[in-house]
Amino acid sequence: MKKEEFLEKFIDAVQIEEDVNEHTDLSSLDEWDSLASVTVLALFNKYLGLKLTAQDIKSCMTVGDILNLGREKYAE
Amino acid sequence: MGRASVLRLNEQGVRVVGIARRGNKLEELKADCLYSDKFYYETRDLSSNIEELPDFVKFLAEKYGKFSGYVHAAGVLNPCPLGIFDYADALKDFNTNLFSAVMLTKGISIKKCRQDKLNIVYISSIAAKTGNPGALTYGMSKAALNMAVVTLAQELGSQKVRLNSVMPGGVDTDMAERYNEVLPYNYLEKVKQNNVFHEICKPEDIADVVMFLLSSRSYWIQGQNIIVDGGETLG
Repeated sequence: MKKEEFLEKFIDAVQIEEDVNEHTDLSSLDEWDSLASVTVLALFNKYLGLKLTAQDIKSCMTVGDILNLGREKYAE
Repeated sequence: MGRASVLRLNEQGVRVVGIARRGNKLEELKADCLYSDKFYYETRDLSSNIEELPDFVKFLAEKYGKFSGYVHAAGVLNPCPLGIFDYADALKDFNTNLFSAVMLTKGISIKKCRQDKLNIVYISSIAAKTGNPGALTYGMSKAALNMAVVTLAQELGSQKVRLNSVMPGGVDTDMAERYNEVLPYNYLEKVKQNNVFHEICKPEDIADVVMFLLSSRSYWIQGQNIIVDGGETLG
């Protein structure tokens, strides 16, 4: 899966209604909460085969930081 | 909890056939058995080809002899908040947690697969009652499993089949470990705070109740889903 496609999945699964890009602060999103973090982990597992932990997500400040966690798995 | 139940049964010299996906885990379990010659195993993925399971039980009964008990300890918890809920994924988890239990029960309750008296114990969960955010499929499957107990205990009771379940709270298992990793807080620590002993339940504590429900000492208990959670749900 391409990075852009993963971003689409992220927006869809976390049910974000605002416009987001890689620079968007997670803390600025109403939808960003502890359950959203569980959702993101499930997305990485399902689409990229990555088993990440809540600790990995905790260190993320922006949407770009989240996307960066999958950097080695995206298709070109 | 399946593993702990096997070890408890094996200590008592009971012959057990273990079913699991991975042969290496079963081989490890066999090595840990006090009487390893009394533990047999078959590998089978219980998340698919569910319709074949009654025949699978027939095959087991022909190979190992008629069964006097069955413990359903297979269970998966794949965190899936509603935003990522997927029907096909949920169905697969329902196969493992619920439908395989029903179809194995269908197979094992046939007279040629079992002894005169048969005791069945499912491992359910307090999640069947309390639910957990992010664990929709898990909670739904366990609630349905509880209803399978209530219904089938009535259907099969007159044929000398006893059927009950144990509903543990948080238990120190590989599954809890994985759940811990995806939650933003420490799940087992929370469980520890919430039960009245402020300890973490060990699989053996659950296996002891399973042993009781498999034995004739619990003869008058039928169709019950029994909470075994150290008071976690007392509030």
